[in-house]
Amino acid sequence: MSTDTHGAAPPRLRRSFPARFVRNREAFLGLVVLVVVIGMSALAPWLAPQDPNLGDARNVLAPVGAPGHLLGTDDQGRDVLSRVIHGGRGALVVAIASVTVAVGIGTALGLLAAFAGRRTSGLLMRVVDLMFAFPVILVALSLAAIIQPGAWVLIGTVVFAAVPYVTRIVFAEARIEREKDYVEAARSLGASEAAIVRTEVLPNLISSVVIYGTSLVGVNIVFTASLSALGLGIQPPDADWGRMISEGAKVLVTGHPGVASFPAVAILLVALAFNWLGDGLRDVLNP
Amino acid sequence: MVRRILSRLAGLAPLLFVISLLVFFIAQAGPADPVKDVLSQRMSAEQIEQIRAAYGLDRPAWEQYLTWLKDIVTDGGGLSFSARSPVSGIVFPAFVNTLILGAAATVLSVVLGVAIGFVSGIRHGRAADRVVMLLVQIGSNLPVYWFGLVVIWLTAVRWKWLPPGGMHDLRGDGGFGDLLLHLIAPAVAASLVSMLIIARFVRAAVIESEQSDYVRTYRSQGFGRAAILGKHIGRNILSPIVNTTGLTVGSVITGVVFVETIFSWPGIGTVLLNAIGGSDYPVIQSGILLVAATFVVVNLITDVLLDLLDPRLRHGGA
Amino acid sequence: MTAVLTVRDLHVEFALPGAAVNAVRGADLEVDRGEVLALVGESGSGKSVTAAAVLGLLPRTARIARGSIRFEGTELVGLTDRRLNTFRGAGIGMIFQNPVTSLDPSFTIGSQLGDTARLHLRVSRTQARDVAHTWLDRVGIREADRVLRAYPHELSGGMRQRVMIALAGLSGPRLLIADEPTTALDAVVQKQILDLVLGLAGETKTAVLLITHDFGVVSHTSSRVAVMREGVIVEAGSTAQVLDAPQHPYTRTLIDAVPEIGRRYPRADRASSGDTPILELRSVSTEFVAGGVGTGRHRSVVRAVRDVSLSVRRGETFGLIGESGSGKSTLARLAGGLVPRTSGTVTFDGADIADSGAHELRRRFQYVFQDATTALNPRITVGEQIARPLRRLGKATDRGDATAQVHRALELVGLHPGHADRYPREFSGGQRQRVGIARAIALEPELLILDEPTSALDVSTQASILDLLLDLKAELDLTYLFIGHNLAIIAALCDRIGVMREGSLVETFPAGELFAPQRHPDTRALLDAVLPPVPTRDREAS
Repeated sequence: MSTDTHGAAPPRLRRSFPARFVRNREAFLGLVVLVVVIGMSALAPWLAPQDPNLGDARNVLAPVGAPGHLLGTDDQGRDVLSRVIHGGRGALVVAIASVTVAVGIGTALGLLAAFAGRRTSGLLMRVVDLMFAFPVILVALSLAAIIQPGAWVLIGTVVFAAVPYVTRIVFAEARIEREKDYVEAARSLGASEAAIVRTEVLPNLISSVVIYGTSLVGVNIVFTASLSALGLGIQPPDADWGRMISEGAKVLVTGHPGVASFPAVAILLVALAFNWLGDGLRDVLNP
Repeated sequence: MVRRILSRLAGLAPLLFVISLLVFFIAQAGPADPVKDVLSQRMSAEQIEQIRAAYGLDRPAWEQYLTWLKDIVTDGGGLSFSARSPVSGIVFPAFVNTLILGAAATVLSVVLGVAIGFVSGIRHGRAADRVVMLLVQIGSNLPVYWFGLVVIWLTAVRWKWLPPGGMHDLRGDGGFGDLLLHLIAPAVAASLVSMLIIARFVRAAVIESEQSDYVRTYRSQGFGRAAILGKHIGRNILSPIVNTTGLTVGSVITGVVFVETIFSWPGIGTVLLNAIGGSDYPVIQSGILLVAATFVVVNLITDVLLDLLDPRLRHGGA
Repeated sequence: MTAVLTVRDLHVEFALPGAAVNAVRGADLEVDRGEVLALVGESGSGKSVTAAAVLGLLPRTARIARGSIRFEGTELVGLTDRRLNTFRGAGIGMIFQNPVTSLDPSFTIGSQLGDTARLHLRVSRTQARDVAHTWLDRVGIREADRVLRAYPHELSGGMRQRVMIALAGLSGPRLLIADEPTTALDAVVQKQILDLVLGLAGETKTAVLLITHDFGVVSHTSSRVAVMREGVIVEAGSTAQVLDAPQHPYTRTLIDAVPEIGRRYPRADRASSGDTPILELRSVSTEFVAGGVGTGRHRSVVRAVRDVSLSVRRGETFGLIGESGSGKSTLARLAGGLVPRTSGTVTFDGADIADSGAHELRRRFQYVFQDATTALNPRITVGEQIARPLRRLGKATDRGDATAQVHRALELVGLHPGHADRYPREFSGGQRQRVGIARAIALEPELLILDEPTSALDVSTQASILDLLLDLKAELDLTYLFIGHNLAIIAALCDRIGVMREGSLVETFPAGELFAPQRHPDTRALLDAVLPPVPTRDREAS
């Protein structure tokens, strides 16, 4: 037994994860906003004061604060507030679902490229790099041409755009981890390559993936909204924030900015919330 | 060096081939029978078949591909379904307009993006930096469509500085100055996303350079901050700037397409959107192929520029 | 004699989120004209911060809270950057630790030298080029013309450091601050660089403030020394006196912890070594391929190990020494089966390790890495990292058994078993290395391959880890293959020594014959490059 004991307790560096999270204002604020928005969208049928698709030809373009229409009405007489409450449902589902799928695919590809032979990974990453830089709008247009505009065009486009992004990040980090001694140690201690990737390297990547994934959702809420505004995404008469912007475009310049701007503000707020959450998580997950 | 360029060019060919295949399949995969859609319902089945034959739609797929390819190369894509006129007449002029807007937007993104990022970077941690970063964050999360609308409203309606849309003044004096006036607002709107990406990137590069060991060496020798910033940091961030710019070309193209509808700019975006609505496949295919090919070429140029800038690659890189 | 630099009661604090850390808490220093003062301390002592503070090169988060720094009578604390620039370079020059990153990668050497020359000497472009050339000659760079046109990445570490010295010397400073100028360099080059600095300083009567953690460097270069610990100077005086008869207990422990050439560790001779070989390498070679298709670089073949044959006897400690690039680490990895061979055989206890039954064999020899920070998975608890291989290789029958074995291993290395659920970042550097050792011995191997296990540690921690290793060897009946670059440690520790150079095994000899006349010139070069910490403790004459 070694005579000098170095068993002195190491200082308890870590506070528990929830404690750190609450301390971080950005992350906390982002989470609160998101909970509110997601809750609102989920409960929309019960929360909205009016039927979002019910138009009233006699009450067209009512101003903000008009009786029964807190945010006014649009050019078809539909209640703006109700449409805003409903408007996030499609976008949120699409963005979250497609980013989740993309993160899964991207992580798998990134790990594959990092641990494969030089040629395979070289080829794979060249393809990924090209996909990454490719103008996403062309993908959206192509998809719309094939399967007609709709939610699936949005999903396909987001997945196409997000997979290379995630792959590149995972590839870069996995490659660095791969060179570290603990991977070699695991190998020398009998672990198979697959086990190494799964149980040694992956835990070191998860926090990055979560952080980037969160930011990605935010970015794609904005992007899908813009695609819907062009008519490639969610179709009328369903209320959708993006769509509402283009519908309100005609009347914005004639002095009724609310119709297009309220949904725009909603989009901005949700995207910022995801951004803050992502940034805050960066500090919380990497003490 | 020359060998690198040639090898990159060689890499282009298979890529363009793959893209052309994919673009061609757009029509094959589409569910709508274009002829039925476009033509009147009152035609007889026989007449429909005749017209299909005239458009070559009854030939096997690979033959259609080759014909299509030949058409693209020779005269730009055959006939439009809806307009019954050569695709090239529709697509090329629109493409040129888009190029103009795209070039303006790129220039704006780079100039403003680098300026914002640089100033923010050298004032890292101070009030100016914080304010700029907040604005950048908000701007990055703004729907471009709405931003464009606001720009129009401000510049054309509220302050009446600029024309509200289109490419030329209809009263037709149509000189370069007129074009420029029409160009400003859409270019600003289209450049928003890429400008902010570049700004964030330049800022990070400047901060990293300022904290680097080699800048410390210069400082220890008594070089003034301005001199270090200008010559040394400037030179070392040039390469990352070119790299990022190359990556944002895609964002610029996306931005331009968004913006064309708002500003009634007669570019390829508008053409494509209309074509999708009308299932006009020849137009869709030519349009997408053209834009994709341009993107690939720009990518090549960026890669070559990067190689030229990196001393490690220039001097017999091992 | 007027003091060129006088530091009084210097306090430097770092503003970190949540707290202020005092890196320097009241330091006093004086450097006279023409003398070399060594400021020595371990990592975290504040020595580098002190050096940076003199020239006002502290990072953003740090500030001088109190105290005075006087250069030739002028107070430097509180001066604006612009005023400080008049002193930087011309009055005070500085050379840094890491020559790799300290030169601008986008400009040629000639351009950087020229810029500095024009800034300080006010000469024209062509004159600047001549000045640059002259200085390259002065710092011992032979192909000055080629180097002037070269970029930093094309030069070796030693050459880059010479360029840094030229850059600093160009402007004719009266005080030169050298912040660990040779830590990143090999032993042979280290001595050359130190002698170069001393020579130049001596010619121009420049005062030198030399920051280091190595007492050998202190002894070789300085006339006076100051010992720093946790922000305070605990002892200062003439080098000869401090090293021979240190007053402060900390100084004493530091000096005692330095292994010196020629003196054996008492524990090292406890275990007797047998004669039967446990590990045998026969004509082993390995090559690496760098670059090629898809990487954008030319394909090149690097022959890291060339035709090496050696055998390690059961019970002995075999030391393998060489400079960086000699192939010793690669050889160690080959022996450990971590890297594939191109030719030759590696046998452990008679069986080829490349055979398919190697799994069972793997348990019997283990590897300890140099840097425990990267050798331990940061996201997995310490106990789990030790337990996994136990379960995987079948040494532990179930979780309970594994836990018991983990606790035993931790106790053996002097750690508290209750800390098994902590993460590596919660331990100190020395403790992390103990975890790495625990992980290796938990499998009850017969042979341990140790790849520079103490190079990343402070001197005092180094000593305790080496003690631990020797204790474990005796207690668990182990054989060691010990890789190192510090000849003093190797000679103090090992029974037999092998010297490697550029992939080949130059010679093998018993440690006692280190100074024998028939030693190979490469071995002699290594020996000559050793800087003994205390000049009076002479090495045995050859």
